[in-house]
Amino acid sequence: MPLLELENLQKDYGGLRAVDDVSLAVAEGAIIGLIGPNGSGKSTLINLIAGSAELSAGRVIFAGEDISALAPDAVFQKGIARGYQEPSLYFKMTALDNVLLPVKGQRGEHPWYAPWRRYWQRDEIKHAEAAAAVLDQVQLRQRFDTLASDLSGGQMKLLEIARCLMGKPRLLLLDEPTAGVAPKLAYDIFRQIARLRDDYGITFLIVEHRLEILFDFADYVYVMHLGNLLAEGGVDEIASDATVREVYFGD
Amino acid sequence: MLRKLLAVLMIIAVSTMLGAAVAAQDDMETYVLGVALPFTGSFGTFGQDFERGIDLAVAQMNAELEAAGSAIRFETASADTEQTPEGAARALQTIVQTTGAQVVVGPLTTSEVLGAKQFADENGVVIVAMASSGAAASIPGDNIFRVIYPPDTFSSKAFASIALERGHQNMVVLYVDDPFGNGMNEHFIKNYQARGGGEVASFAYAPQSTELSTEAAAVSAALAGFGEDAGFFCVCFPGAAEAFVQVAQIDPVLTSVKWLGNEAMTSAEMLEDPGHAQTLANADFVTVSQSADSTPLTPIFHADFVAMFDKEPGIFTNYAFDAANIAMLTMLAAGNDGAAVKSMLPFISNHYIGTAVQAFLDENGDQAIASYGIRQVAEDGSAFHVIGAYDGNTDTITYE
Amino acid sequence: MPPALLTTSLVNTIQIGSLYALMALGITLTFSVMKLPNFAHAEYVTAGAYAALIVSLSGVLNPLVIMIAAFAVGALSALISHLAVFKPLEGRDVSFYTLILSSFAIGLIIRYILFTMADYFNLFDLRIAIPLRIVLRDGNLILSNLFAWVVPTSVILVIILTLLLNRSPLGREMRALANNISLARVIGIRVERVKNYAWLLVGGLAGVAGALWGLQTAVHPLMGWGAIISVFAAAILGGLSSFSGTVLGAYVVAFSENTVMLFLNANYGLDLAFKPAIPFIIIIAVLLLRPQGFTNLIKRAEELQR
Repeated sequence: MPLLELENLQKDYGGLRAVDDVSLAVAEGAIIGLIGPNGSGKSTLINLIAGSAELSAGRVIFAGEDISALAPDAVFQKGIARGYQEPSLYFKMTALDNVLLPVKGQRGEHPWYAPWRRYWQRDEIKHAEAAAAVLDQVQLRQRFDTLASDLSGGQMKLLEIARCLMGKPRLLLLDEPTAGVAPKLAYDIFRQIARLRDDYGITFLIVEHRLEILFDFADYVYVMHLGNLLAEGGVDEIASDATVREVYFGD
Repeated sequence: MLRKLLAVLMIIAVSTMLGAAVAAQDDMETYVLGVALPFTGSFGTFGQDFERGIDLAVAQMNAELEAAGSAIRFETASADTEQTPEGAARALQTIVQTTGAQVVVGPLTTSEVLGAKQFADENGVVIVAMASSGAAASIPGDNIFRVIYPPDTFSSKAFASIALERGHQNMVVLYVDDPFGNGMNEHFIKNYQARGGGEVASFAYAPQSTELSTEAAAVSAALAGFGEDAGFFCVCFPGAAEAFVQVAQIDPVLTSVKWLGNEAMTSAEMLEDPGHAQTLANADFVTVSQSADSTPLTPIFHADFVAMFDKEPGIFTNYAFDAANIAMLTMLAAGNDGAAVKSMLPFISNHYIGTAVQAFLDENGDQAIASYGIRQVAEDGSAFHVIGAYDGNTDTITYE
Repeated sequence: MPPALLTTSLVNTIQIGSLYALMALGITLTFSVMKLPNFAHAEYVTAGAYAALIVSLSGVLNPLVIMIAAFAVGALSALISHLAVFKPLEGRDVSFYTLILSSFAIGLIIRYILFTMADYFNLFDLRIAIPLRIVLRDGNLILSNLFAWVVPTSVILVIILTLLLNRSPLGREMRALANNISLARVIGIRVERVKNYAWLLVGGLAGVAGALWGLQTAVHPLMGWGAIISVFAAAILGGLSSFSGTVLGAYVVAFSENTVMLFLNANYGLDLAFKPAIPFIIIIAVLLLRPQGFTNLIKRAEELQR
């Protein structure tokens, strides 16, 4: 059974159909690429899966469960985390605080307990250790006390991924994780992604424009064009597909 | 088609019959008695209680009219003045324009009465106010009658005399910044100084204030500036009175001088708080208010009110009852016509014995029988006792 | 200005400023977390004062019990107004102005529920039955037990709230909501729950402020509304976002209403009846000249400290 299944997804904005009858399946433990020209509906598709936009029609099935109608926080609790093209962080908070935010069931979350530091301090230390471990995975442990706004662009991307990991997700949706990042660091980011998949079995659905990097790491690729699914297949297949080349590279 | 026609005919027939029935009932003549009172705002309880007093008067009058076989019945139409001059004007306008009422009982305070005045004068509507006493509304020839409570021109003299009797060389006044408070302050200063009093320092507080520590500090400093033989005169509305005593009770100057104050300072709530009661007792608090002597009608009103509403009438509620009766009696004599009521109301008032006092109107349409009681708080702060009387018509104070 | 008057007015400034701070913090918190300038806040204050009054009338005179009761009732009325009105409206994506108007409406509803209750049980202009005493008298300086209750309670609650927001996990989540609510949803913060908690805190603080305000004046259904403009002025001085700015703003408003007002009265004969105009003047001046209030000043001060 695939981890994520999209059945005939459709999204209308007024008269505009941004996503038109898209069905696809994502196998557990795979790195899936989602490519297509600007405005082809990739980001909208990510929003639909994450619950940030409302479906006009269709169903989203995650681990055998229909999550179409869930709000974003509920989708996150089910095990789907997401990152954005522009790094979305709490820039006025430290890296550690950013990673601690999504932790479930913190003792100090409750207003009656929050004023009693002793009551939740142990719990907080435990979570902070877990957060430090996650930061370690993305090589940000040394910078835990830095304000998110003081990090470099690539580090912001990594911090975003670290925050996603804190929720122990089974599926990570990433929207252009290498946008605005130097080529060397872009490779680093993808290497981290592959390692996370290998070590923890996390599944990735990645929207990416840097095809040369994506094709090095992806197991399977979907191509979108004008809201439709244009093609799908392995990396070699897509790279040589004539229609894909036509819409993508204009040749 | 035929069926539809039949249905239409049926409807016409039924409505005609209903109209005839209504017309038959219309042999009865209904006079509308307007009621403009503050139902909301900090005086909302007064307004609601006054309306009950008016309802009682109307119910009794209608029962008498029915027993006598009269074709006239009274009904009330009320609107909320929101305790503001503008609200009072709106309330009057609403009542008159929706029901055609020619006579309106209310409003409560002098500022509301003055707010409603222009509309009343221009539209020939008669206003019968029950408790307004501000000197600012003493105007000859207008459509406003204040039939029960005499204007403050009298009581301000009494307060001035008492202040001098108590040996106050100078006075400090705290008053509410509205026509009632301004009038009381102005007349008090005039009378106090005319009778040989010294300097008066006055402080106004805004009517909407709920917290009076700034004002208390200012009063205290002024009293300290005058020295020991200065006295304090408080002209406050209910609510503000309690709030003022609350902050005054720890002030060393305010707790060491003697106080005079208007009737609002003597509410039941005031003595319920031991601190407040003690403060007033220490200050030898004295007030001058319309004489509370009862007439033979007072206990009857009280019993009827309790029987009808299953609760005690509040302070001044019988004034509203009396005002409604004077208004209705005048309408029975003069007809449902503003101009006729205006011309006849003084005559009816002057022949009316109410539950509070005999009414007798002066040239301003205000109560001219100025018979006041002087009350002082008991030494232990448990109650207010009558210690004397002031006759405004002869300007004499007599102690018991 | 005589020294006795100056001293008294400064004591009043501290006492009333502390109460304004307690009320204004709730407004700043609702505005920053919920993006709502909540005019019903005044009514949570009144509800808390009535809770305190009723508990004290029932014979319990322990100030702590009274304040806990006031906290509970204030918190409950805030939560109910959120669940019954603000949350459904937010779900419908209504405009900012609709939210402001609805906050007026819910405030009116609560106020007249209190009016009806006060009328039925005749609870007007009563005082919470804690007797007033002088605890310290030194020359012109006179401090009452009211001062001894009001000021430390407000200061402690303000400190707890500040620590709560800046140090605790709940505060972290509230700051996240204040900063970017849609991101908070995406990263799995249970937004609705955190909002409910924020409302409980806001209402509870207002309730405690009401109990203390009821010691300062008499309990009446309009008492909260009577203070709300001053409280909004304090929150606006704080830029509706900064806590330290709001507290500073509260003392500035209280100072203007007491010391400055009395100074103008003593030296220029300005009528004390203008007191209610002071917070309006402050609001207009801040909105015209410095819409961000104290926020930038405080930021700069913090930077200088580093």
